[in-house]
Amino acid sequence: MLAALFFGNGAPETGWTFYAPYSFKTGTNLLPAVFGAFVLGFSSILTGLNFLVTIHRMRCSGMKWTKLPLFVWTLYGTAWIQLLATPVVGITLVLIALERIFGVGVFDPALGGDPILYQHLFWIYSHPAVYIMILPAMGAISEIIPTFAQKQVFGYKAIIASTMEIAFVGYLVWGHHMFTAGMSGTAQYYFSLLTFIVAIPSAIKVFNWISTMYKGSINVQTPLYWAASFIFVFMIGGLSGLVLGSLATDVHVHDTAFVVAHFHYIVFGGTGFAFMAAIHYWFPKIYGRMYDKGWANAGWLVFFIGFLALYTPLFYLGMMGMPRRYYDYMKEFHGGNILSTFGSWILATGLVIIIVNLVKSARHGAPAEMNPWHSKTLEWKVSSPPSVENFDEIPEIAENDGPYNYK
Amino acid sequence: MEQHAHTQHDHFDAEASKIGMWLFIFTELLLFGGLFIVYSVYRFMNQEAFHLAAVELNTTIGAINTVLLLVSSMTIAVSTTTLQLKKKGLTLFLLGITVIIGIVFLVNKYFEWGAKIDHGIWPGSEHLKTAFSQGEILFFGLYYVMTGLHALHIIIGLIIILFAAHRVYKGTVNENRAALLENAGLYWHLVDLIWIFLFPLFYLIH
Repeated sequence: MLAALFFGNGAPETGWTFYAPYSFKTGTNLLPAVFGAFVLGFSSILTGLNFLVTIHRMRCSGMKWTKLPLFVWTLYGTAWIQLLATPVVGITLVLIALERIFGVGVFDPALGGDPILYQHLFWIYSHPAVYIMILPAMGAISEIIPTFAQKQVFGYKAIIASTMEIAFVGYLVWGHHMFTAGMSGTAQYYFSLLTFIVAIPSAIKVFNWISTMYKGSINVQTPLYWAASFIFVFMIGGLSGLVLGSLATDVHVHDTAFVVAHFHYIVFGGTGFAFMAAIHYWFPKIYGRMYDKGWANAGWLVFFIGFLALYTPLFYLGMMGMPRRYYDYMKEFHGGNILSTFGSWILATGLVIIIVNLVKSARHGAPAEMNPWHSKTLEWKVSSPPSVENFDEIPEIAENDGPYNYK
Repeated sequence: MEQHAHTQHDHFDAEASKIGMWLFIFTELLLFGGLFIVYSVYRFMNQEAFHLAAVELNTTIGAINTVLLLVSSMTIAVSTTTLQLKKKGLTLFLLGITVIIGIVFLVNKYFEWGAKIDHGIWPGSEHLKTAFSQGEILFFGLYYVMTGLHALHIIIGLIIILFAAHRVYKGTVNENRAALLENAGLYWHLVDLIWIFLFPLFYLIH
């Protein structure tokens, strides 16, 4: 990938989608980029394969499927998506490379090929890819919420079912990226309907998380701040996705800043916030040291404010019609863009506070207890940081043990 | 659960390696699945041209190659059984036969491609672009891409089989640890299976 940037006739300017026919017409150094994406795809497949086999074969004694922590369940769902969707984009990238080298014609309209078919093949992978990003994030949140509510997770099986439903239905909604690219009305209805259906399991999870906190003994700590703000931004991102999933409104906001706002609320607000929550949750386990909680909370607050200021105006700008992918804008969009720019500075400040705090604490933080959050899952039953091979003796799960059995 | 016992001393788990191989084969099928989608769409759009182009292919060589691969699938399947029966020599002999058949397949493919190239038909050639319709260009483009990718899988399969045969010869693959040979066999069956789809798609449908 990096080689594509620095050598040859300039960096690829196709964007991340490698859309045909430009991707094989451009004179820039595209082949290393395509090759890099292919290798990454292959490693993603093998990672998924590894997780699937591990989860099937290496659970400890008594660890039934219904006692598996939800984070592991979401990794299981993610692994299936990696395994099933990635090969399709793999072969698509191979075709782009062959098209460039030999001029086969598969996506070249001059030789009878159909560039729209390329878009279909690309999104068959690249839509499920966003679920690869969000599912483990949802899993981390599903661990953190019950721990800091000190309460059995609400609807354990519903969360599992919704995870697997997302993995399955998420495979069938790729067409909603192409509503304006040219598609039959019937196809549009189906993709729109399926897009609405895939929103349901995400909503189920949100209800589960909130119901878990209801009447719990809430322990307000940094990971909980991140998890709660995750739910907030994820809901805004998810509901704005429905605006894009309905055919009429999608035509209005297609290719505007609204899409940018939606995407960042989900992938940065969703996955990014959950990533931060997870880092602050497992940090004492990883390093055996506790971070400075005051600075961690301050970092979260600054980051959260910056995030809202950065991305919220983009919803408004998109509704007004500001297109994406332009560096310049018209005068009436000035206020929103200025607010957004300030937001980006605030967000960067928050990020610096968080990173500095974590890096410093990893070296000099106060020693952490084995289980500072009083969590019930297995990783908290070993020393921090865990020894090689994690468990000196393979643990056994008794009939009444469970990952969320809080009393 | 029984996986408990052997994880403590020995990480080897024959069941796990077989599950892993099946999942990998699944991904390979999806890889070719993408090409089958492309093929179906273009066949639907250019039925007449695909018919005309398919006549150009040599069904006899295709049929011979089909029979060859089916036989080689049998020989490698038998070799996994003879390994269980502790007949090391016979196992190696059968693996040798499998490799030879794979090479014969590639030689046939070489002559088949060579004949097409002699006629000026290859992706991007001037003759193809000027003398043929768009549908025929797509047909031959897909023919080269799909049979070429399949041939690449044959070569990978041969390397895996040779590697497994070497391990059988050294004795590290034996009746108690047969996973490598069995997985090589599974992979070879996959290569065979894909050809079973390619043969009718390109040679038989008229």
